[in-house]
Amino acid sequence: MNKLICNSCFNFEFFETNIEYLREIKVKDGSLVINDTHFEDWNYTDTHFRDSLEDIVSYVVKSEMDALSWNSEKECHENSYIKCAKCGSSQVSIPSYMIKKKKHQSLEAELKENHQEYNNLRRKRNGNTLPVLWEPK
Amino acid sequence: MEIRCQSCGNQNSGFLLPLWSKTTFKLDHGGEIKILHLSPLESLEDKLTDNKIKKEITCKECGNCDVEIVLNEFEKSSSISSERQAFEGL
Ligand SMILES: [Zn+2]
Ligand SMILES: [Zn+2]
Repeated sequence: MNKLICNSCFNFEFFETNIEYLREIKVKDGSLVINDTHFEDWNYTDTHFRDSLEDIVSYVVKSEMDALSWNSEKECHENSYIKCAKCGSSQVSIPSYMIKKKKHQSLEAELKENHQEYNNLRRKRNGNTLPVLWEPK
Repeated sequence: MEIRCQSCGNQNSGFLLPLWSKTTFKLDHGGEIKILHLSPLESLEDKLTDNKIKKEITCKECGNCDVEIVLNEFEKSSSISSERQAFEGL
């Protein structure tokens, strides 16, 4: 079962995200030395990094729409945390979002788009003797 | 160069600093995460020169953020090269 999908290229395997990488710094002979940080034998830099990545992925998977924000210029939802590593798109979501995708349309735009379909329905229901509905000019 | 914790007196070792990095990962069918690549998005050099480091560095011994960093011009350049080597070794 795929957890995430890119809605631009349909990649469901390779992604990118930004994570804080914890460094331990010390001064030796006046110069700065950087290493992983350890607590006794345990590499905390490693654990912290892996945990942060897992947290981001599971948050994005569980929160569904909360991880997405609406980009009004491109007219699509974009993931605030995870990008597609294949095409660079931010349109990354859980797979079931693909079905809900068109729901962001305004009511007015949706009514307008489906006007003809409604007229077809009226025709089927009432035959061809339809009263003409008043419409604002 | 010198780093000192104003709270516990810890000096020149045991300071923690997070640096943002970009990671590329793979989600396999079992939902497991494989880390494929890691590249730095910010450098210690920038943090040192624009003083941002002071807000983000913490003392590993006591967890305090009140850390004093004394840096002079000559040491600044020598510290940058060691930082480069250390971070590019990722
Ligand atoms: Zn893609
Ligand atoms: Zn301290």
